[in-house]
Amino acid sequence: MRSLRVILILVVLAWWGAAPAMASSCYDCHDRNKFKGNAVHGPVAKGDCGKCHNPHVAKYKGLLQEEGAELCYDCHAKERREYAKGMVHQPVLRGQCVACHAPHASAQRNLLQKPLAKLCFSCHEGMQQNHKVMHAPYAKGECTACHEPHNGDDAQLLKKNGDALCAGCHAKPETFAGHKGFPGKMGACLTCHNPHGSSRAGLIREKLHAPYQQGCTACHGKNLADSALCFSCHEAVKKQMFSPHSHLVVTGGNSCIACHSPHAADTGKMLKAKESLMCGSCHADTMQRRNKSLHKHPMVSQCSDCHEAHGSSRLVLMKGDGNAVCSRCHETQGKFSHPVGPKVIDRRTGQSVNCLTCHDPMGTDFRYHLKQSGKKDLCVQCHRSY
Amino acid sequence: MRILQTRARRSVAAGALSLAMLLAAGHAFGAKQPWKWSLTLRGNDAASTPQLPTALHVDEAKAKYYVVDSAGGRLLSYDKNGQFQQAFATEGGLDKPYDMARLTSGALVVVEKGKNSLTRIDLKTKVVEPKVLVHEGRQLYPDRLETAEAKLYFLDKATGDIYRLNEQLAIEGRIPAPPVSRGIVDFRVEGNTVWALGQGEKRLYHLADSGKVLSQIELGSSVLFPVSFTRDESGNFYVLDRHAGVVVAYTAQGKEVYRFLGKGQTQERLYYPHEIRFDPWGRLCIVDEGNSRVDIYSR
Repeated sequence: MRSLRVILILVVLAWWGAAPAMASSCYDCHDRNKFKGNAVHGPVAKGDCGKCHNPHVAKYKGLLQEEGAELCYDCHAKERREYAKGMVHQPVLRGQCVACHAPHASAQRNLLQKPLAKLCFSCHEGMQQNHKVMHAPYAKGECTACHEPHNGDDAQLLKKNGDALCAGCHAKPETFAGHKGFPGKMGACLTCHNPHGSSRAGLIREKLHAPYQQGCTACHGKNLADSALCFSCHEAVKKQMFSPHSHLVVTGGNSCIACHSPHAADTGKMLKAKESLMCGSCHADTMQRRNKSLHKHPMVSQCSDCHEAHGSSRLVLMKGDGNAVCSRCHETQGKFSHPVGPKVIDRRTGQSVNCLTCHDPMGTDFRYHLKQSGKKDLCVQCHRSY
Repeated sequence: MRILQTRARRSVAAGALSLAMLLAAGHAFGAKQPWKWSLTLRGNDAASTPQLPTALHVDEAKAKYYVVDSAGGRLLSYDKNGQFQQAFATEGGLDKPYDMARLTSGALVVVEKGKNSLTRIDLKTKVVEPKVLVHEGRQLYPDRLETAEAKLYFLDKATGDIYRLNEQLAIEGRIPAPPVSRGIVDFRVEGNTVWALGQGEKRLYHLADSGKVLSQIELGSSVLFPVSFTRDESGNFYVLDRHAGVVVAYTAQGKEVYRFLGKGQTQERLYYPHEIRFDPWGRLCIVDEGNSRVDIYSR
């Protein structure tokens, strides 16, 4: 107990010894002009460099007292709580505050590293398009007019739900003049309109559903309810939906329109948003697990590369058994690897061994996204005599 | 200087707090959980092992477990001690069976997803009658099944509504689902009321026969993907988390008391489990789809 007390005192004394230097001596070497701007971070303005840096020695790059967001949250404690809610923007999730904010000073508001749109498009490259018709906030680069930069309730980090957001500016009756005969209450704006831009007038999305092109009565007024209406044309989808696991989900009406727009969309699949966003809007925990994993399958562009979007009899809606799906790309491993196939049985489960017996492509903390360490732990689950 | 002093104090306090939390967690999640693995329903070969089990039905009178093997297109029966009895399928196999129940007449009712039907199977006469259900012009999509007091209940997957049928599979009533974003995924009948699990909301709803919400229990954000639940005689809830591979226990008032098991493929681990039920002998049964087995735990 006494020795523990002595160690504790030594640790505290060592910490005391590393007393912070103040800005005046910092600027002897560091150019003061680099710490000036339209917006200056509070501690910099007060000359309190020691708030973030240790002048003598530190564990972290830049002599920082702590790493990443931990340092920021020391002062911005409220933000730590707030930004943990709902869907979280990737840089926030990774604790990379400085990906967007300058820690010392900036010419931009809110200490942004670059002008807002330039900053957003530096990651969201595909979003920067020169549309023939552009929505005013998009044209002005005002991304935060509609999106939350840190976290939000949905995968698109919208400030409010789509309709409420649109109504914030477009509440005048003339807005609805072009919607005569709209069935039910006016809404679901984003199912037809692209809030960024389009080649069509009225920001109507690029791809039109064939029945929509023919007119409303191709679907409305038919004596078919809910998904059965869609299934009357999309027979193959119906077959997939009639599976033990399917996305025949509750939407308060037609399950199909949980993901698809019946009128207009940006892609031929008529999805309401980018596929990963659509999937992530319900499967947030899976997306977060993937994002946080140290090792995950690279280069997969879409969830539907491996998963059936509508329904499947297989576990986790896989498109085929583990070998069939993986060996489409991993040809060598499909022919030469640890024995796999129907004659090789996983003694833990009685199932045949396939790629997914050992690998979890959604991400793990082990190399090659193995389910456990490949050095021993994973192997001895079956090879017990080793 | 003052800042560093504060940091040192904070580090010591944080260390002490972490230790206390670690001990508390060990107590809450380890020592308190009373369940011990008892047996596993799985045979010794492919013929007696379910490929992808999705549901369990227990016949108390015959002391038998019936496991629905969706990928195998069959039903497998085991005795109370877990010994495999027999496999059953209709001619050509059941078309993606998903859940089953036994009527008081002895007939089986199986949800065949591939036909989108409730299929009545009379074991004596060998008559198999798939029935596609339509209610008020809407096609229904049967999902989970339950029986109570000579009535059959099923969950309509597309709406989350729960339908009550008689033994002739005629619809007698509908319990409308509360407004939910991603559907009702499981339910339990209790007298004239129903408990229903809202997956997106991570919430248990207690519903009157009219659909009126009598009370709600929040499962909390620590549950990732709730897929099934059950209740014990004291009214405690046991929620199965498919993605985390854990069972989370709540008091009747909804306070989380402990969680047990975890994700994996060895014994006492779960891999994408699908259903949790109590058997008539008070044992907790978990249909573990990803591990091709049903694990049974006793106190």
